[in-house]
Amino acid sequence: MKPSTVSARAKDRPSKAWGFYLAMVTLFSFLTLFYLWHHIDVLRAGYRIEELKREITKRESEIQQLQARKLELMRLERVDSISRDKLKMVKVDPKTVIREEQLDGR
Amino acid sequence: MVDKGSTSRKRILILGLTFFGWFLINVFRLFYVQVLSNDKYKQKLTRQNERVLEVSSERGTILDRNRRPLAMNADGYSFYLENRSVEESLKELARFQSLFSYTPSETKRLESMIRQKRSFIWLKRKVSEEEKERAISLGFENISYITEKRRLYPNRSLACHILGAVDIDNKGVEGVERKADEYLRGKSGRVLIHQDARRKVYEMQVLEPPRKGDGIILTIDSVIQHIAEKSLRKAVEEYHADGGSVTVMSPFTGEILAMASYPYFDPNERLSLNGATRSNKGVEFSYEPGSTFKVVSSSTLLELSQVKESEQIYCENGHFLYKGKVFTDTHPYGYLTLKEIMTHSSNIGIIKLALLLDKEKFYGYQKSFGIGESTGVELPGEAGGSLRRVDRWSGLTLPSMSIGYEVMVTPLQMLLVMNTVATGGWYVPPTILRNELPLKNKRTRYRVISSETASRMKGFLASVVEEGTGKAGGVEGFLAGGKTGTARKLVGGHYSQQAYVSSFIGFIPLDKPLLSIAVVIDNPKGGVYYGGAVSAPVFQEIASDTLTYLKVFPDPSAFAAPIMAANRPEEVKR
Repeated sequence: MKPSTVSARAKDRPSKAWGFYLAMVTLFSFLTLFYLWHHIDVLRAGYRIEELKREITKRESEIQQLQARKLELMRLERVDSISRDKLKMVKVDPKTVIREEQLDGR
Repeated sequence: MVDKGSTSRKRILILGLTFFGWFLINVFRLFYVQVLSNDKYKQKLTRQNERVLEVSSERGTILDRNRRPLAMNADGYSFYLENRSVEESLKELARFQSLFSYTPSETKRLESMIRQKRSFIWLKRKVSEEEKERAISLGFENISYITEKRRLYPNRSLACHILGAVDIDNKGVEGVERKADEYLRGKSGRVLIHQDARRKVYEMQVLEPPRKGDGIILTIDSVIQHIAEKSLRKAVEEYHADGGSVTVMSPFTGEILAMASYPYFDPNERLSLNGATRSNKGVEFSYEPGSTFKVVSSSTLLELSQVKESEQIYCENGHFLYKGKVFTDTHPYGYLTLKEIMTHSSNIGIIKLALLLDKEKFYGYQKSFGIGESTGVELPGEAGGSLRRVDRWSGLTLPSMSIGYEVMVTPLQMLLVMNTVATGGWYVPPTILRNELPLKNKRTRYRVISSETASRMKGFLASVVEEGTGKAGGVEGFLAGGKTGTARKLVGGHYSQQAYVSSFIGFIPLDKPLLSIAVVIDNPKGGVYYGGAVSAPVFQEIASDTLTYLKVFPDPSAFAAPIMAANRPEEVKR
């Protein structure tokens, strides 16, 4: 009976080793894949963040350009000339200014 | 027979050992690369994938006293040429130049750089968005652009002499931009860039963030500046003058509300910067003040009790010979009091009184009024004027000086003299900065003349505007004080009969002055050159418009009653 028991054990050994190696390879592959996926994902997130940062800078620049344009349109020289020449507005004559307290007889 | 199971077990074992061996090799390799050769590979990686870039800081903005931007930043687009082929580059340059104004020398320089086969050539830096779009629409092969920050002056020429300008690298070269460059420019930062094998950036690490320059708030009021510039331009053009200057101040605080110098320039256009145009005449123009200097002489006379108000001085009917030189008046006068001498601006009257003065004391008072030294205002290139020491005076210096000759001043210095009277005898140092910066004028106020003298001087100066040479400077409904000045210019060592500096310096309202204004017109032509005719109307216009803007209206009783009555609502209804 003894030899047959030994042979059965010897028979089981390769399948156990196979299982072990397979598990190791799977684990290694899984870890490698996980590492690569993680690395690529971080890179992808980095690209996305940089893209968004550029977008923010672009929008900020656009706001700045619009502010500058607004200020140029509000230039006093321009406002003065439009109000005089186009809208035919005239200078305030202090004599014609009536203050509230004057109307109240104060 | 070979056992099939044993063969397959052997194969599995070999495969397993192979994998294990491969695994071990990898482990050893990784150990070698990451542990044993760590430093070497780290350096190699750093060289390939990392770059440290200097990031220029954004320049601080300049605001007026109401926080209106006077100088700010915007994106500018800088075009460059990648010179791959000389022939192609020259063709593209010619097309590119059709969009922008290039001087022949610039064109020559660029062409020569192309022929020298320089690989990178700047074509145009910091152009506007519109110009960039126009350039892009032409479709160039070898011309590209990058974005840089450019200085923008949204009000164009407004307050150009105060603001100054920056050079192509955003360094202040004129005006406040230059004076406060240290605060405005900020500090550059450093960024570590990580890039992949294709040189695409995937991470940026800020090593040292750029520090934006400090903002500066000026005492200037854009609206008052606009009023001053408009009136000055009108006067200079009307009298075909060489130039002019207007300075508006708040006398009690020493704050400069406006400072205009004609001709103007647009600081956005760097090509327009030439020496004569960019000179800020308010602080850089030294001139002999003429009769406005009589304020200093009269104040000294009163302060030293050299004359009584009721005392009559004989004005020699317009001609007075002293030490071989004939001094004249515009009109012949007989006996005049000091007040009348000031009202009619009699040179002879002042000279005869000034001859009673002790030279050292007169010199001392001039120094106290701030003559002969710069005011310390926060603007570059300020002239100090010139006041000779008493030991260098000739026999004619005292009489000449008493009527504003043989002494050089700037318009700002003369305005400070007038402010001393307006504030009741105090010298208040001028400033153009509202925020506290280390470069702010450190001088402190001090008393120059007594309040009694200042009060009497105010009376004299009111009389100048009410009934004297400065009538044209009067603003309806307000009492103002001021003095006219018409000084001959020194041309080739002789006083010219054709070239004058016409000025009017005054303050308003008389009792509690809100504004003091100096108007100086350089060399008006066409026969009209008196300060009272050329500069006083400019004072009147600026004072009137500024008071209206500040909502300071005259007392209604100053005007005819029917005007007010006619506008009452109940009467309008009827």
